[in-house]
Amino acid sequence: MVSVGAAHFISTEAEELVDQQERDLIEHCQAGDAEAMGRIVRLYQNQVYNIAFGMLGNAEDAQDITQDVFLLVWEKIGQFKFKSRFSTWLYRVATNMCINEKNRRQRQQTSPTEMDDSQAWTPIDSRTPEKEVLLVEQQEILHAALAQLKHDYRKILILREMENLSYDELAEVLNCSVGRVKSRLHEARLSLRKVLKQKDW
Amino acid sequence: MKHRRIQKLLSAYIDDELTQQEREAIKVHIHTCGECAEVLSELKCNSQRIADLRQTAPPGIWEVVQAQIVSGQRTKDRSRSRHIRRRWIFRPIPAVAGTIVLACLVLGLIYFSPTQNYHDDPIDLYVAIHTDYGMDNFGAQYTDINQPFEITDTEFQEETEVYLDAHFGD
Repeated sequence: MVSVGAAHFISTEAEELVDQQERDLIEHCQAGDAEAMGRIVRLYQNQVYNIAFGMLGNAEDAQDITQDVFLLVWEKIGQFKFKSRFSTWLYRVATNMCINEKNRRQRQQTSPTEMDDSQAWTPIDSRTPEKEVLLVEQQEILHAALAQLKHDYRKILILREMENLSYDELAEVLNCSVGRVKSRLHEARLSLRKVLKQKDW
Repeated sequence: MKHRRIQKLLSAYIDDELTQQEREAIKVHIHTCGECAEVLSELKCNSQRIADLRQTAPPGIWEVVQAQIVSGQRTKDRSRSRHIRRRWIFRPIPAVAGTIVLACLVLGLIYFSPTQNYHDDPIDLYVAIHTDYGMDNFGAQYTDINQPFEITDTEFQEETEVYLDAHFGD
């Protein structure tokens, strides 16, 4: 099956076919067909995982949240009435869950807890190629910079840069006007630029 | 277009979400404005960096979700069967007790049935057969010893005498 994310680059006819296939899948899910849910998961797991990774900044949490998102989708799929694109509905669920998780953690962090020193510091394996180390470092810096942004800015940046959502789709997910999307995205990019500049990047 | 207005449009320029006219204006501006050109290239670079963070999801996400979905369904099934078992008819002790109580009721009804009374005493049987009175009616009057028992129906009186002679006479 053609990935829905790629649907923007293929003809309208093929897009309609993909839409119809997706609609069938969703209707099967709504009827309780777990097999259809499996196909939905495989279709969207990369997108949801990347949103979660971008929002939370670490792979383990991203994986947990991705699973939780799909579980929630399975529970709530009956509420999806085909009034919007499934992808935008899914992205809204995913970003909201990530923000909830982030808020929950922040609340936990404000309460006095002991430092976690159960895991000893491990030096980076000397056999790892230098380029890879550099890449991992760069990714960590970028994740740290994203974490410093407001939730709204981080959300719009991830949806735009990682998921390649159009301004129309962004407006749908964020539930605002295209004009607002335009200005908020620009503010978000300037904000990230400022943070990265502070990190001498 | 002025510098400040151009700067605000740089993001939309990167995303190709501008009108032809706006796009042209920006192209012209960045040729002459070093600051805008620098911001534009940095924003482009940062966008690419975030795009490069994209990864493939780790394997096994569906398997975990599926296990939870199935176990969720199993819990539902379990609760449903528990609900069925909770109905008394499917539990052995109440079922046996219920059967015993039911049997006692039925046997008791048969044993203490009012029809038995008609045959206990010949006179009851006689009265029951020969009167329009139900047993209860007649019996109530009959057994009240304080009230003198008067028989107004002569035919009934005669018959009673004949019957009593036949059964209890010397």
